[in-house]
Amino acid sequence: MGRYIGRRVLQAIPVLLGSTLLIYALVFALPGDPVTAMFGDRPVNPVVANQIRAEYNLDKPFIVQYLLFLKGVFTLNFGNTFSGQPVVNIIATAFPVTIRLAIMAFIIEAVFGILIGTISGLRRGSWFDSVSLVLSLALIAVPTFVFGFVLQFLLGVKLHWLPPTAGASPTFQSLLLPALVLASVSLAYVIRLTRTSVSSNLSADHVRTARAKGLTERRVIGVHVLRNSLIPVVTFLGGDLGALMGGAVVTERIFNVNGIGNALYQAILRGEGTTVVSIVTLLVLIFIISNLVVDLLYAVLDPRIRYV
Amino acid sequence: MSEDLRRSTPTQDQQPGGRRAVPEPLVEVRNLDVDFRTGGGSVHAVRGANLTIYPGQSVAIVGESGSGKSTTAHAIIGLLPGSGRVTGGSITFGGRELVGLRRRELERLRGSEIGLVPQDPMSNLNPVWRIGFQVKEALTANHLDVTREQRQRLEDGLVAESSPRDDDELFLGSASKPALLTDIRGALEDSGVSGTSLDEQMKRWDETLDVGSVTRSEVRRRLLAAKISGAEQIALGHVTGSTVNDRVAGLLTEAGLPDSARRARQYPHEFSGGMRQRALIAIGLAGRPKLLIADEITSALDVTVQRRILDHLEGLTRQLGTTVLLITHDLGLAAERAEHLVVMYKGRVVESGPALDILQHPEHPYTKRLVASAPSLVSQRIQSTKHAAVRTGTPASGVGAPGVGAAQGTAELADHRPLIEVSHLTRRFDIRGSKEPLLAVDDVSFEVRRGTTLALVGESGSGKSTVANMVLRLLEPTKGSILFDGRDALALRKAELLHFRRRVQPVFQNPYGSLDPQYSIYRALVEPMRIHHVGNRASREKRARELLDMVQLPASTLRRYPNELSGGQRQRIAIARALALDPEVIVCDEAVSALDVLVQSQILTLLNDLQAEFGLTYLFITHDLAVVRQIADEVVVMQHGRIVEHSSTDEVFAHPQQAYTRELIEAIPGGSLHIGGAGAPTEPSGTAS
Repeated sequence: MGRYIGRRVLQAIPVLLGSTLLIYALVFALPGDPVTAMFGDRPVNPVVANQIRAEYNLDKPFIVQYLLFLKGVFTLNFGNTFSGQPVVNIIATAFPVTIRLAIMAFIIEAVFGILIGTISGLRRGSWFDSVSLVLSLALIAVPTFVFGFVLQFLLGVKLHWLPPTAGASPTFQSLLLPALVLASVSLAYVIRLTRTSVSSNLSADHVRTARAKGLTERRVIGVHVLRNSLIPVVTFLGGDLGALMGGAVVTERIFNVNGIGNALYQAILRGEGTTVVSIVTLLVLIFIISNLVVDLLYAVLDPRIRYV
Repeated sequence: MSEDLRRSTPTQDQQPGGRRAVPEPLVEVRNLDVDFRTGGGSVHAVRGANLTIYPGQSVAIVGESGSGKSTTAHAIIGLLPGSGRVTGGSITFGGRELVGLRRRELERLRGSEIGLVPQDPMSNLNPVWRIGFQVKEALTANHLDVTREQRQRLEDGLVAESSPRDDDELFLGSASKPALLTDIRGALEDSGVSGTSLDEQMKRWDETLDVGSVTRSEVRRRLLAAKISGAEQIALGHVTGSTVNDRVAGLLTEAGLPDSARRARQYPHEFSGGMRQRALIAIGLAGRPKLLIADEITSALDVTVQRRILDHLEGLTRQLGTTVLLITHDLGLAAERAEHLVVMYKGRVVESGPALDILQHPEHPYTKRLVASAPSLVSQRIQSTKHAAVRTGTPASGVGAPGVGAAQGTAELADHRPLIEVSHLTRRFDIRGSKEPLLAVDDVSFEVRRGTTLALVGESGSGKSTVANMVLRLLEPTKGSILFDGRDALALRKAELLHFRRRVQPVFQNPYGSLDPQYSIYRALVEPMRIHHVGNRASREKRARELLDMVQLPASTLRRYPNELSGGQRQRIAIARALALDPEVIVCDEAVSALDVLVQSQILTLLNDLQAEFGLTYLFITHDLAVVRQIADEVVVMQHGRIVEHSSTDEVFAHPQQAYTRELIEAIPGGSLHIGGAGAPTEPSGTAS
């Protein structure tokens, strides 16, 4: 186990280096000169421009810039934005919002997904099953921004049930709508995954053995069907938590949530390479960690999995 | 394992079986109809089945897959799968109607009245729970856990104080066992036993007093029998009940699982097939049911394991007085293990009666065919009626076996040269996480003569399939050489290897997995010809028709897909595909193991006929010696990767040299039974030729 984790952490190093290098190169290759853009319509003062370039290392070759950035990362110094604000501050304000949003979305998809999926799987072919299948198909088929705008318009603008946007300091209620939209697609997948898993487990041989012991139906379902059925679902959910933490650019834009996704979007717009790469590095880290946790969780759920 | 697990049950003092005066049947199935609803209507799985089981009797339902035998059994315990419904008739258990019983009432009945040991040990245990947990569930579900025992003891405390009853439920606990042993030791020392004799006796006591399995009365009885002073007090004082974990260990010990307390903490995937089956037996018997349904419990296991488990189950159920309903496709096994046989065919009971009667005087045509083709009862090699063109006069088939007349004339034409020579073949596998490599095949040498059949026999893990894969050039040996027709088969590259593949073709065990479900039969048959650029479109199609004709399938099969065919038909297709390129050698890796007896015998006859007609050479891999007797000229017995015996088939069966070979032969179910005459089938196998 310890050796396995050690190996996975070592494997994460090339992933992290490779992905940041890639992102850095992409940002570097972005057309347009951010320093020129800073002057807007005014004429560029070459002295000031060169000074800014020197300050942000923009005058050095690409690979040197990258290595300097890496050095900063190791000392937890992500550098400053062009407006002089430390990148760490941006992350520190945006990340808590994203975490709240992600947890809310995660709870929605886990609770409702497993509940609806289990009932569908147990009553395969019933009206409940058919309705949940059609609805989940619709959720998967309709793009998130369409679903987002529709909900925003209906529940927020027309019915005034929930605030249509989140704003600067979002409350629980104002995050409910974005969380629902963010959860929707995964919710549909969780429903379908749980349903298939439950219904295939229902006809498993070991479930018949459990019944033959004289166990009550309740216990057969709870101990022998659900526990086994949830293994793939939990694995999916674990991976999804990482994805949710990474923020949702589209959803955060629609509902004006000042989360990490929105911050990333703004940084790309302004061509702030340092901010973009810093945020992406963080996201890559989150993904690596959440994937490792999922893999370890898998071994807890399924004793057949052993790590060597 | 304790010697005697006697627990008095009402059935015990009744003589099982033969007694005519037994008034009350335990199970009575009358005109049972079971339907399965499918997309296009219903399938009648069981039609008008009748079956009576008396207490203490052992009854076997015999039939091929699809005969309705398992469905009947599942109907009794109320566990019909999927859309299965009882549509008519009645099932009574101890006089109580089971059809139409509510779910809760059935749940109460299962486990404690009717137990089930299911078919496939690999899939019948829940992989995510420990073995002990799964056994414990069977106890708690039937309120046989400790709390209940304690409650009962409190209720009738007076009874517990007096001398123990015969049917008490007080088991020896792990906590009090050391004290019990100390007292026994003390008593023995008092009576003058000392030194090694004392140690030996104590060792025996330690081994036979199984925690969670022996009861207070049992300990008392044994102590009294051993003339130990103060037996009564010792038993009363130290056998004061067990924890539920002790009971779990005790049940597993009873089912023949050594070191059961530790084993109970393991997961199913850490168990071998045989061990899992023992755990399932422990679960099935945990609730001390009156009726135990054993559904093909050994068909997935090696023959030797199969025999040990059946022996054990037989002893255990006899001691417990459990009535047993065996479900099997193997007539030999049924006849050996049950007093009463019920033969089912296409959902109907076609014959029933005492086992030996049915074996010796089968009346229904289906039963006759079944008796004739039961592999365990057929004692000689199938003789092909076709002209044996290249049949060699190997000592094996030449001596003793009648009907080789056709071959004798051509014996001198026979090619005695070995076609395949395997020498010092070794294969090592490196195991992850282990420094010790696995020697799957260790210095194996043998020759296969042209036109003959060599059977490679052994249990799973003996390395026989590894040898087959190396001969097929699907796996590289670590050491050793393989000569094919005098040339080094291991040195073949590219074009030569392709040519080699054309001459050596495989037929694998699982006819469901070895055909691509997306390929029509036509496509499956012409694929080898396409790969080897044989003929053109028209000639390939003509050849495909010929091939189907050879394996006795209609030409209309060409347009069908594997899922529309039965297991036997698919295996015929697999053979036809192997024949497509006119090979010289066919390597059959457990080619008939997954098939029902009748189909198995048809396929074996087919293989024999094809050998006689085309002079094919077979390397036949199997775990079943009964099959070997029907097809092989020579036998190589493998164990732990090594050859332990190599000789002609007749020689192996008549004078097995090794203990292991003898064990394998004895493990053939029904091997000790004699039908009619001298153990030979009463008529030549009634299969088409």
